[in-house]
Amino acid sequence: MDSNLYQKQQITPTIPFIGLVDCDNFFVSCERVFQPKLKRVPLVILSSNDGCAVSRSNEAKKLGIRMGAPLHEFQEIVREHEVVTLSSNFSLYGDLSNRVMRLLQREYPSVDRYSVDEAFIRFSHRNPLKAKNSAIKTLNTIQQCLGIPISIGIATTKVLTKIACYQAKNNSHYNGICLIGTEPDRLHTLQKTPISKVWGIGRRYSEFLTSRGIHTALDFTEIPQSWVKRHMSILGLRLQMELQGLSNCFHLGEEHEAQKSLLRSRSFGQPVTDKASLAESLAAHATSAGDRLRREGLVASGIGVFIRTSPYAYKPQYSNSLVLSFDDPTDYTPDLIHKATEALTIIYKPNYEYKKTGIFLTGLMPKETATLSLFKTPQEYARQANLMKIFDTLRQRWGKEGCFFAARGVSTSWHPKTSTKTPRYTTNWKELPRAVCQ
Amino acid sequence: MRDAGIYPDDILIVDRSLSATSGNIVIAIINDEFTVKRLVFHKQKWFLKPENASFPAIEINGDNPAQIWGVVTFAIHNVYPNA
Repeated sequence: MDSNLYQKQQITPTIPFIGLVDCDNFFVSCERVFQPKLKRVPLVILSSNDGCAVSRSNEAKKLGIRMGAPLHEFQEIVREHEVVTLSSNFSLYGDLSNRVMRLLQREYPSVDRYSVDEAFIRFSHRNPLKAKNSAIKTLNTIQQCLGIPISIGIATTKVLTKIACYQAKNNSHYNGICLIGTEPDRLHTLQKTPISKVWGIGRRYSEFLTSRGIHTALDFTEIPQSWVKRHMSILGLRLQMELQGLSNCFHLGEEHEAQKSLLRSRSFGQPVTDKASLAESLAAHATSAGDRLRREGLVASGIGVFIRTSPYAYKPQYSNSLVLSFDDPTDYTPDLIHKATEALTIIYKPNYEYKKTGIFLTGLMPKETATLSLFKTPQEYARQANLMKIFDTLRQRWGKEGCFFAARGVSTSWHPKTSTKTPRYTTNWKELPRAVCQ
Repeated sequence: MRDAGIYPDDILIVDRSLSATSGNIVIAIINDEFTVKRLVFHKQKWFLKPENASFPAIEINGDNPAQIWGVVTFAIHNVYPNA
């Protein structure tokens, strides 16, 4: 490979800059907006059922609590250092996330939400310093309007913005904004970024590369293309080109290809042994998946069901899954519930303490491209579509509890336990934060 | 905050995008607690006034820090008994 190729290619102000906006410790930051006393304590937010750490304050990170670590693994640290643990408050996080995105949309022509706490933005400025000034303004606006700290990485390719963002988060001298605006910037930043921190390089690749003397992101950009292609496929090649600032392989706003599968799963608050409760939980998942299908205008060709016991309990373990096909691709919730129940009947074994169930829909396709049925009459189609329309309207109007399928059940023993959830400050009139009035 | 027309259990509209200036009613954080006060700059000093003769104004300084959380723009007062 001509290793000088990219070195000649300077990042010039004629290339439009993109930015990655990433909220710092997002769930933790959301909680701290409404509970000032949490600002000074190590704080960990737990996943549903209070299982694992999903967001950690910097203090908690320093205590050695890993991302994704199960609570029992760091229970000792919690006790010793008075770490506060909270259940996830998704109503709050979701609402604040939407507010972050709305503020970004107000300032940037193109905002591509990447996750609940990350978005790519396109700057209207081609001048790196102007882009940076605009980012500083955004950072201050979001801090003032929402109280959520963010970091912004600015560069010419998405992978480089990820690296810039990583540097912005981990070096306080950047004040939250890292700009890779020139070729020397790029070389300098890549040199101090370990290969394991490059977007898309998993642990396996990172070990593999390190064992071959490739320790930094810069090292990775200097190995021959043919080698990368041979050992890491086309994806590795794309990564390398993005790191070289050569081409934007992952285009803004263009990777929203149609979803191919859809998953809904939950852990139980209490272990569940009876089939009826499992069936109820599957019906709830199927209902939620059905909502999503119709919202996106999709139909599913098949449905998979899985059930499993807790891998952490010293009890007999069992897990199984089964995929069944629909006669015709469907978005009709009763079809989903029927098939899920049918699959459960086949894989269910009594006397196990089940901890988790889930469904996934497969072979998703736009409804209009699905072939017409051999089994259903047009009248039947219309009747089902009508019923779902009424169902969706009722639920929009009265909430998800306002109308649901009886198969879901009304007891909630299998619902996730959320022991320390904070109020839904921003989305429920009865749970608004209170201020002392004296 | 009676003298400012704000009563217990009123709902306040808070606009965090505004920068607080003297005379604004604000949500401030004192001792880790949200409190509603009027922000006043008087004789080179900042105060948080409770707008209620029974309570004293609080001077904000290094020993007595406070943080402004947001600026109050409207108060909604319930006039329906037992609601």
